[in-house]
Parts: sequence; structure tokens; C-alpha cells
Amino acid sequence: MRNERFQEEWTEHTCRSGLKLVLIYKPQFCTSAFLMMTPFGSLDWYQDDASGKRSYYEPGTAHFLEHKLFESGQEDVMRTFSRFGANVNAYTSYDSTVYYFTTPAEEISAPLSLLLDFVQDLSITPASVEKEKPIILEEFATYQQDPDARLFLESMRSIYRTHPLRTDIVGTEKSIRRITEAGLREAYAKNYHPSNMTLIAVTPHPDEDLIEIAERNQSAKQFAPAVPMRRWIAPEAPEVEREYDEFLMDIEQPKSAVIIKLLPDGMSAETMVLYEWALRFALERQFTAVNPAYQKWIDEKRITPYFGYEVEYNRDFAFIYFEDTTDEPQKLREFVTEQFTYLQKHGISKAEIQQMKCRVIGAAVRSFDHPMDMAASWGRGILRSINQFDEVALIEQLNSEVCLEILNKIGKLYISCIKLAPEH
Amino acid sequence: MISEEIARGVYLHIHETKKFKTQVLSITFLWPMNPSIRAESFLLSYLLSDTTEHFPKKQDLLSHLDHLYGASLNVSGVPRGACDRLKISLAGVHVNGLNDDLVEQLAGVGAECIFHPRLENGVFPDAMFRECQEQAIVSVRMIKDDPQTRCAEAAARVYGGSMANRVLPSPRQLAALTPERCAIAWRWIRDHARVDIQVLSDLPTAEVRRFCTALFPFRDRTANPKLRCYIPGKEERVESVRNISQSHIVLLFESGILMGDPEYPAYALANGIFGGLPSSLLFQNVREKQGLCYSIESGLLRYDGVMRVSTAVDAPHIEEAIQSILAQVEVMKKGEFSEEDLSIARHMYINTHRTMLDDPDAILSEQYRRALVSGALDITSMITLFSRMDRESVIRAFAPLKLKTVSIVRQKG
Repeated sequence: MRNERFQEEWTEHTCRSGLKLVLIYKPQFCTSAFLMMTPFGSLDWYQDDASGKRSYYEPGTAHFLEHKLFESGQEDVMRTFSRFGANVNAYTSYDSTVYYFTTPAEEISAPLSLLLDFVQDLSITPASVEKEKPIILEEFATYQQDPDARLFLESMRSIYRTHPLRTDIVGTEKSIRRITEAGLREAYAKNYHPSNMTLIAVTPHPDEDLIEIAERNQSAKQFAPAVPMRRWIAPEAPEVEREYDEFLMDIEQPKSAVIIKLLPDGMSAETMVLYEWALRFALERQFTAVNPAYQKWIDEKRITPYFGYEVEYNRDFAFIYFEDTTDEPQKLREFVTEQFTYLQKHGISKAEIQQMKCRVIGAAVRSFDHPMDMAASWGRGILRSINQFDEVALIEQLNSEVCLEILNKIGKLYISCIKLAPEH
Repeated sequence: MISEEIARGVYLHIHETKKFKTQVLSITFLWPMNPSIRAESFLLSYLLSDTTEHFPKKQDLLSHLDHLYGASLNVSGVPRGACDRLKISLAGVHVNGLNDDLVEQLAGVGAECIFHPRLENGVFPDAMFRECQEQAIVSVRMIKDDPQTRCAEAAARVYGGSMANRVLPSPRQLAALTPERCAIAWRWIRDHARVDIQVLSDLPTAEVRRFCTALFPFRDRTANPKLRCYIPGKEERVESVRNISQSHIVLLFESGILMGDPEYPAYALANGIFGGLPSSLLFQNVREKQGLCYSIESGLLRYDGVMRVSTAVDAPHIEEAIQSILAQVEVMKKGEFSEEDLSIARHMYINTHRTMLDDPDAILSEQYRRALVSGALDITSMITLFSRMDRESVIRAFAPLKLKTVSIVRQKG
């Protein structure tokens, strides 16, 4: 396939095992980026099979599996990749686990086969599971003392009552200690079937060579029948769990966050993407230097230059997260509410939308120069059922009327605010 | 790629390539570290980044960059080695013939920042100055709220020399600055510091030369900054206690080997075997075998002749972790690493350098280092040397390593 506008070429192929391949051809580069992902992430505490039978996994299971897959029998996978001169790593997000490597090597068969092999082989014992726990607990401790990570986590605890976002991606101290070999095996069996996974490559190697390597690798393996699973998250009421909270850390700089809880009720994948971009455009117009009033707000100390926001709009959760370096969260809440309400009334102009579109198109094209960024963006697109080029095309359809309509569909605002204060 | 001196102490480097969609331009000022204007240079990265005389509001500059298809402007003040540095970076992409004059436009914005910053009666306007001052103070507080950075800064302060001179200015130092002092510092930097203008784009070299020489009429300058600065460190242990969930450790080892030295490629490989790669001795032993930490790594402070090891552990394991790191230093010095360790490091560094050829920013950084450091090799020469390094040269490169500074930020309780 070819996108004429951005002059990018790619091939899609499904292996006989069910593994999906997306191969983006970049002949001018010597670096290849390969990424293999499963849509199994930290939100997957509960999953239903086709018959409605529900499975439970301890919080942090997806992340624990990510760690353990790097042990393949007696072999240390990282070391073997290094032997090939390839940089390998992995990460767990809310909705996926991703394993990737980059290499400028001309011989690609060995590292690519190793990626397929180690992700498709769970070699654990009760002892190896126990051995990993202190390492993951240290990782947990690292995030616990990060002010931004803590502020975000406490914010999620403020807006949600039971949602898995209340818990860090790595789990909790207790859940990490509770994870067992059997629990990991069950989660692995249900979520790492090839039909559930995608391999994305951004590479100068021809697609037919890569398809042959992947098919040969997959045909040498036997897989149990796939058991399609679907994430289940207990429905949340629109109301927030607590409207205000504060906590202390051994820091010097106070911070506050204001979170608007959104409810993505049963929209199509495309609509969700459109909602997210409409919100991004509107928020960028209203809450950043694009707004003529921005400097006045800073001069009047309503916000600081560190004021910023994040938008998430997914099938399983949606919110707008505002943050600033202030110790007055209530004032920040008043400001956000006032400006968001203004936005719902007035929307965003045609010229401002055009400015945002230029920015988004530029950022998309720039990511095409970075093989790993491009592979990761394509991976995120798969989780949202849209590729990068279609996403840009969708963004280009956005107009003032659509943005205003989407802003107004949000209706009443359910808001939490939270303060992180220095303990001394 | 061509490099030429367009005025004394002013260098223009043009890298013509059609490989990338991204077009990059940077202007870097470099001068010998002067602790008396360190705080000013830190604050200048805020004062020069959002507005200019022609774009007096943030909104104006942002709108201009957005209409160049999301071009970016970044002003940073990160010192290196024995020098202080201010770098203005611009980047953007060509979008289907819609912005063919992009690179010249980017250069225009860079020239605006340098020659027409937003001044009133020769000084930064008071309101803008106060805003940036506050922003810089908050930034320092936030950086120091990261315990690992706090630990590394304490280590650098104790070690002394240029490492100590590079630590972040304190909020008090920043609060004492005035618009006048910053304007004087800026004029001094603009008129006296070494300047390197780097352009990576698909435009013909002659065209880039034409608009760069017109837009950047820098005068001759005499400053001749040297990045490399080997100063023997102080032997000391520094500790502080904070209410955090992990204890942080930073160890500084003096090696005296600097970028550009003949031993440098072997020293870089030795670092890879020791702690610079996921396959390293530190990762395999301290994390994988002993399970003491989640992350552990060593890195080269290439202009100081120092190797830094950083990790974080639970408080009861601090001494065990330090002893384990020192044990791996001895393993390296005795050459008790395997042939495979050496082969892996060699292969990884060769490939890392090859990958740099696919990254516009890495290409320009490498080119800048080479322009500054006599004896520094280009990517291809480094690859050739890595492939030739043997066990003896790696052991020799590691031999001078001496532990000088131990810094610990200990968790309470």
C-alpha cells in the first residue's frame, strides 16, 4: 500500500498462525525498528471469554509478564540481542504490552526470529517469579517518589471509584507480592496467542524477506486454539469519587491538578478519535499561548507558564487532566471551569483550527523520520483501529461546527482537584 | 558536509541531504565557564525562547511557527565540560511543496532571537523578566525534587572543578538577578562567545550559505573555549536523608581519559562492558543476580575524565550495592570479563554509531563535538577503531579508574 501524500509505503500480511504483520518500507534508512505488541495492559484485571466466563488477574500482571518474558530458558534475551548488536526493550501501558528492538544490521533474520521466539515462549518457574519481585518492587518505589507520577495517580484515585486506573501500571506492593507462576501462565495463554498480536516493522528490508522469516518462524511452532478475551471494567458513575484531596511529599515545589471526568459511552473507534482531536484542538486554543488572553492570565497569576493539560479518550476511560505549579488548587479549578464553559459556548474559529492542523501534520511527518517513533505510533493506531495516515485525514475533516458539537456533548462537568504539597 | 569560518570564531556547518523530511538548524554559543554569569546564562534560555522584538507576544511567535507546519524552537542552556553553552534549535518539515522556504524562515526566527530579542531601552522588560525568573526558579526546584538528580548534583559539587561549576544555579542566585545584568550577559555572549551555526537540510549548500551569512552577521571574536578539562576529583562521601521510597547512589570515578584522547574508543568500550549496556556486568550482577535494584548504569562524562555510576536501592542494601559495584570495577581491571562481553560491547557500539547516521539531531551533535574537540573522530572512524579494539586496550583504558566521590540520598527510616 502507498500513501501518495506522505510518500510512505507499507505492506500488511497475516501469517498462518494469525500473527498480523505491518511492514513499513524505508529504503533510505539503515536502521530497522521492530515492535511486537499484544493488547494486554495494566487495565486488564478482568477479562470475559466468548461464553461470558470471567477471569481475574492481579494488578500488575501485564507488567510482570513483560519482565519475565526476557528470561527464555537458560538464555538471557537481552544479552542475546546485544550479541546481534540490537537494542531491545519493552514497556507496558494501560492497554498494551510492547516488545521492540532496533538495529542497523543487514542480517535481520536472527534478531527478528529471536523477538518472535522470546515473546512466544514463557519460561518461568515459581523461583524465577519470586526472584523478580524485589526488582519490580524497586521499580514501584521509583514511581512512588516521582512527584508527577504520584500527582497523576492520586488524581485517578480522585475521579474513579473502582477503575484499574486507580492503580499504577506496575501494580501495588501487595499485588506484586501476590502474583504467582500460575496467574502469569493463565494471563499469558489468554493474551499472547499470535492471532492477538501484531508485529510492526519500519525497515529498509524488503517486505517479502520479512514475511518469509515470520512465516517460517511461525510454521515451526504449535499454538493452542485462540480464546478471544475481552477486557471488562466495572461501569463507573459519572460522579467523581472525591472532589478535593491533598497529599504530602518530601519536595520543594507544590503542584496541583484538576481533572474533568468524561464518559466514552459506546462510541465507534473513529468517533472516539475524532472526539479526542476535537478536544485537543479546543483545549490548545483555549488554554495555551494560542489564546490572546494567555499572557494576561499569567500576569494576573491565574496560571503559571507550567500550566498544561493532557487528554485521553479511549474505549475504557476518558478524562482531561490539567496541572500547574500552584498550591491553590481551588483557584485552578475555578479557572479551568470558567474557561471550559466559555469554550463550550464559543468553540474554536476556522483560522485556529487551520493553525492546529498545520501543527499536527508537521508533527506526524516529523515522526516518519524516526523508525521507532513511527512503529510506536502505528501500534497506538492499531489499538484505536486507525492508521496514522487515516488519522491525519480524519483530523483534516474537523471543523468549527464539529468541535462545538463535541464540546457541548460533554454537558455537565464532573471535576476533581488535588494538591501535592511539600511536607516541610 | 562543509564547515567554514565565516568570521573569526564563527563557524558555519552545512549538511546537505535529501534523506530526511525534517530540516534542522541550530546556533550554539560556547564560552569558558564563568561562575559569575552561570545564573544569567541559565535564565537566558527562558528570556530568549518565547518572544522577540518582531514577535512581542508568545502568541505571535507560536502562530508563526505553527504556520510553518508545526516548526519548533527550543532554547537551552546546558553547559558541557569546562564551558557554558546556549543553544538555539529550530526544526520543521517540508510538507508537499507548501513551505519550500522553510529553512530560510527557520533561520530568520533564529536570527530574530539572537539579534532582536525583546528589549526595552536595552534591557529585558520587567514583567517578562519576572515571569522568566520565576519560571527558572520553579524549574530548579522541580529538577531537584528528583532524588537521582539531587544525588548527582551533590556528587558533582563535592568532586569539584568544572563539574562543580556546572551544577544548577540556586533559587537564591536566580532571585538576585536583574534585567540589566541579564542583558549585559546576553550581549557579552552574543559578541564574544564562539558560534557554531549548523544546518541539516535538503537545500543546496550555496543557498544555505547565502541566507545564513546574510541573516547572521556575527563579528569576529577571540574566545577560544576548550571543552576538555581534566581536574582530579576530591575523595569524599556525601550523604543526605529524605523522606522518599528509595535510596539513591552516585559514584564518581576519575579516569583522566577525555574525548579525543587515543585511549577514548577503548575506554568507551570498557564502559559498555562495565555498565553502559543492558548486557553489562553491573546490570547482570547487581540487578539480575542480586536483585538489588531496578536500574543501574554507568556513563562517561567525556569532557571531564570521569565515569559516573548511578543506581537506587532499598536503604539496607546501600553498602552491599556499593561493594558490588566496586567488585565489578575490579573484575574489569583484572580483565576477568569474557571474550563474549567484549564482542557484545564492540558490536553494540558499532551499531549504535551506525544508527546515528539515521538521526538528524545525532548527526549534528556528533559534528559539533568534532568541531570542538581536537582528536575527536567521525562516526566512520570510530566504527573502524571499535572493530580493532582488543582485550588489552580495554583493560589498559580501565586501569586508571579511581573512586573519588560517593554520594547518597538515603531514604528515611
